[in-house]
Amino acid sequence: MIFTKPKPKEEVLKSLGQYDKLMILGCGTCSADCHTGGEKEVAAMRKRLESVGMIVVEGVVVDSLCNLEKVRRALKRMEDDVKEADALLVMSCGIAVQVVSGLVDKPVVPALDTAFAGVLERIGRYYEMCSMCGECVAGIYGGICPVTRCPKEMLNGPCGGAVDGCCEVDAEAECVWVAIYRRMKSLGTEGSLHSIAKPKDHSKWLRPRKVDAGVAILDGKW
Amino acid sequence: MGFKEKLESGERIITVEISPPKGADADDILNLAESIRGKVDAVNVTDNQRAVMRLSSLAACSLLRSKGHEPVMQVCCRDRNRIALQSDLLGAWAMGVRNVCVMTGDHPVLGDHPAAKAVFDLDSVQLLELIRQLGEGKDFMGNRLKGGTGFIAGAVFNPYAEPRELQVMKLHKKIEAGAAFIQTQPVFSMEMAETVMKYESEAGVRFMVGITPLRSLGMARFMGEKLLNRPIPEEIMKRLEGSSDAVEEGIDMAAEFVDRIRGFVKGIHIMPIGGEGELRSFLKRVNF
Repeated sequence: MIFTKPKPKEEVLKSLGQYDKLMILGCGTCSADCHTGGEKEVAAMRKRLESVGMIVVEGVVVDSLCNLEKVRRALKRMEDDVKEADALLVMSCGIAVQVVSGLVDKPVVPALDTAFAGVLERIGRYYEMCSMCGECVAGIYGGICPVTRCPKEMLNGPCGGAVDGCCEVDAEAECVWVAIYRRMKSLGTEGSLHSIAKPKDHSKWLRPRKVDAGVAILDGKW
Repeated sequence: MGFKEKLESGERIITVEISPPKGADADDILNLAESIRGKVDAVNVTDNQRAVMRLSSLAACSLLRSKGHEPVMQVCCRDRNRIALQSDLLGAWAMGVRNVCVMTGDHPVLGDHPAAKAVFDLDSVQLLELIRQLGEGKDFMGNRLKGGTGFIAGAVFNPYAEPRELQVMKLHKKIEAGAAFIQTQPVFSMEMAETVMKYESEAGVRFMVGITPLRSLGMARFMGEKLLNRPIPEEIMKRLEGSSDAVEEGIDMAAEFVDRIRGFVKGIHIMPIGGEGELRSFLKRVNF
């Protein structure tokens, strides 16, 4: 899931300051699940903006703001509201902000900061798990990704900075290499850690990335 | 005898770590090196250590070379990608630097430029392999070089980091990747010195045991809590507390410690950590 955090109130109000009429878009997928852009949050934002004198022409949750066709159809259905609004406030991730921007001729303002791709342990507790590096090596490390979960992306073992098994950067976090070693020992695979891991191929992170597989994915030819 | 020859000879070896200034005025580091000329086998120059921006290790090493000193250029993985690392290593060689010591490097968030982008394109093991490749006359991609290098490359070992098995696993990888010497974090007890020497005999490369004269009770506590995660031995704390001149007491204790370990330790790496002013007098006191 992509986790988002609400931007500071003041920052959002400042970005919206020059506009009178707004349309609010929430997202029914990730932002709804982490309670930053679902029905409740859109309603609360509407109330907040109206209380400072702004006009909200519509506040609605779209199924999936990263699915271009769904967003296009949703905006078409609401084209009168879009027309009336001076700007659109998007309560979803950076993908959503850009998808909506590409479809409307109005300024688009993000209400959230996109935090990371990770796991929902429980409501309010989320952890980054994946950097989307383009060459998954988590399987080599007992199913734990050192690229994401080590601040230094170490592939050959921990740095010398771990204090009491805790990360040099975050004293409350266990050094991920401790977790990797423990897991691999339990699987009996820790011997492979003795092999020298080669450096990452960062050309696989060359941005902006794309997949242009067409129907090859659906036909299983990918 | 140069550093490389000293290492290969098996004779006792003393190295010292000094830091470049936070500025372009290199007088202090050059004066410090001058004050200890002939007293040590090589001078390690730190690379923006603790992620605090300073004059580059490369430049400081080059200046030291020009004055006839023997520097060990410390290279960390935090600030440079593989292109810059190779470029700097070739440049260092061209300017007469012959020894390097590699390490991961503290994360930027711990230093004085916390918003800086952390690079960590390579880790210390991969960097050692890169240095070996430069020594074979090729760059990291296998392209032939017009002038290769022949560095003696070392790495660091922190015997305090837990779990130790992981640090030892990494130590062996560093040696497999080409580390020809190892320098350790400061050691204060016989027990730790013996432990480190056990790893030296397993590893088959020369170790230099870290030595730091403590200057105050506060410094000792800080080292114990923040750097070593192990309290400094009680007898050291007592002597610092009971002394009227903690700096002198610290120098005495460090010199005594070196005396006690010199029977089974053949290499020491002195890290003054702010005590550069006392370095000359400490070296006079040390019998190694």
